[in-house]
Amino acid sequence: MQMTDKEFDESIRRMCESVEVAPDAGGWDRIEKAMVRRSRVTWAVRGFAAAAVAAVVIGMFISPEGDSPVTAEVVPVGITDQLAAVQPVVVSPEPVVPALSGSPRRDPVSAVAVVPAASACEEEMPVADVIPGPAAPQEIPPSDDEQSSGTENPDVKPASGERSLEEQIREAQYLAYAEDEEKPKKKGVSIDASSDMYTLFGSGNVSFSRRNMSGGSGSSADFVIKPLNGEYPSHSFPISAGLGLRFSFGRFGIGTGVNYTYMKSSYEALVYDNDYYPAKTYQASVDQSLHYIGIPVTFLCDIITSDKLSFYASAGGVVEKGFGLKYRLMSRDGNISYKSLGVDGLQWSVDLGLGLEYRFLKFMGVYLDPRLTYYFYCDQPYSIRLEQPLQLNLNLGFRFHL
Amino acid sequence: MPFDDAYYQDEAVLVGACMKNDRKAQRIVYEKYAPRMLALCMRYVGDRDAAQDVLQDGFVTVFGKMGSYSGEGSFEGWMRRIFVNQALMKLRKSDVLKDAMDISDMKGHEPFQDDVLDRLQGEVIYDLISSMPVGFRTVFNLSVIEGFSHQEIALKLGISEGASRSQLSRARVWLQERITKMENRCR
Repeated sequence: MQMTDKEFDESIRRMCESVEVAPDAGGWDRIEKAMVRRSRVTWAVRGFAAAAVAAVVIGMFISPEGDSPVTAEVVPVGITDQLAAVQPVVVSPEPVVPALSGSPRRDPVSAVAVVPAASACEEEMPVADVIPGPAAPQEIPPSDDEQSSGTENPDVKPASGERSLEEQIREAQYLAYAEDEEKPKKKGVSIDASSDMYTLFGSGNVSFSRRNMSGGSGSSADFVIKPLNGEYPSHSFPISAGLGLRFSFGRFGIGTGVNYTYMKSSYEALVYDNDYYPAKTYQASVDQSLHYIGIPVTFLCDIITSDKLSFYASAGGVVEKGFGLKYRLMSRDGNISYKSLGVDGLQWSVDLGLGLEYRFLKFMGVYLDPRLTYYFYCDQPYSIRLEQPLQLNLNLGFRFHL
Repeated sequence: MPFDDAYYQDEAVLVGACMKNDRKAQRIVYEKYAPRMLALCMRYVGDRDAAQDVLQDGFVTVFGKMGSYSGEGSFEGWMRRIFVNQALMKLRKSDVLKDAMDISDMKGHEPFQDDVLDRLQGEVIYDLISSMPVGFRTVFNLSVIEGFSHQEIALKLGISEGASRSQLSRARVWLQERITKMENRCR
């Protein structure tokens, strides 16, 4: 009797439901390790992200620089526009400030030549001309309808010895500008020369859940290395150095550059080599060296700054290209062979960190950046980054401020 | 807290313990369901090594998302959906689904007799399904074994409903032809 499609489907489904396939031995161990790893990454990333966010938020509230609120609050109506056009000036020993009516007078307190009221503005010289810089205060010529020089305008002179509102404004501005002048410049470019130190927490138990650990380009069919599980690999401290360029915009900044990393590992592996005829598979002790060159991009946020010290948060990522993958293979019977391969693909990583810089010279400082870096699985040759994708790095170097 | 295996006999207790990250309970879940889930994974990805990867990722996801199991429907059914999604992700990553939905002409086939299947074991059918072309296999598994509608399959795979129906028809014909050939060889 013919089966309908529905009957056929139902029969197939019933037959397949009961089929079971025994998983490979060690499956549970791999799953357990993956869960532990995921949990560590989750908590470490959460904790570090929370710390970085908290630091940034606290830094925003601390507000190490900013306009003095006094200026904004006490500026009387009518003077606001003119004051907004005033350029900040350096303190001069005998600043000259015109009175509101236009006649110049010498005021020992103020350091800013304030453009007077609108009616006199058109006749006065522009502020930039009046305030050329740190050394040379100039007098603003009075308007035509002003009284002769040397006579104070009775409208401006405070009564009973108290300072006038205008004097208070100028004093506040002076204090605000003077404070700004003393601080290090917030806009600029700097060059970093640095090196990295790494903390390695590798347990030696590597989870080789990935099917193939072949190294290099063109090797997936001709040359395969599969590190043996249970054999403790040995990873030397990666060696890193770099040059960076940093652009600052106020409290924020962006950095990029180039860095170089060298990694060395030793481990036991199963090797499949098609260079032989017939192709052979054998166990070998492997010494591997691998180089990476990368381009980092980092976003920075100053948290606290002063003349000498600055504390900041950073977040960013690096893309790296591997090259110069070399194997030294020693088989069980003592034969040694060498293999050099290219490296396919790119290694991506992200990082989150805090930094501290001490400026011992005006143009130069030394900095220390502890950061948490996570290396994504990108099908790269086996290295410490596969065993320990989350690493705590210490980046230290010199920064030259241009 | 160490409990003996008898404590975990009840599925509700087992699931509750897994939600509390009880490693022993999680291991019991793995040992109980891994053979069936691996069979499911192999039906989708076709390759044992790839299926092992999917199995591992699937269980990590299951234990990580235990909190989202509301208790509605069976626990195994809830797990199966996670494993199906993991398998589909694997197929998408490998790009094998990209060109697998091309509709090719198929010849007409003989009507399928109902007694043929009675003489075959489940493992044989399972091996045939695992060896299907990936497009047929994916739609056949989703529709016949998992019971998804063509609308749901179309959404999952990014194809049209018509393409899903066509793939299923052709998969069915493909399977019936091979079962018939196998049956004729055995006679």
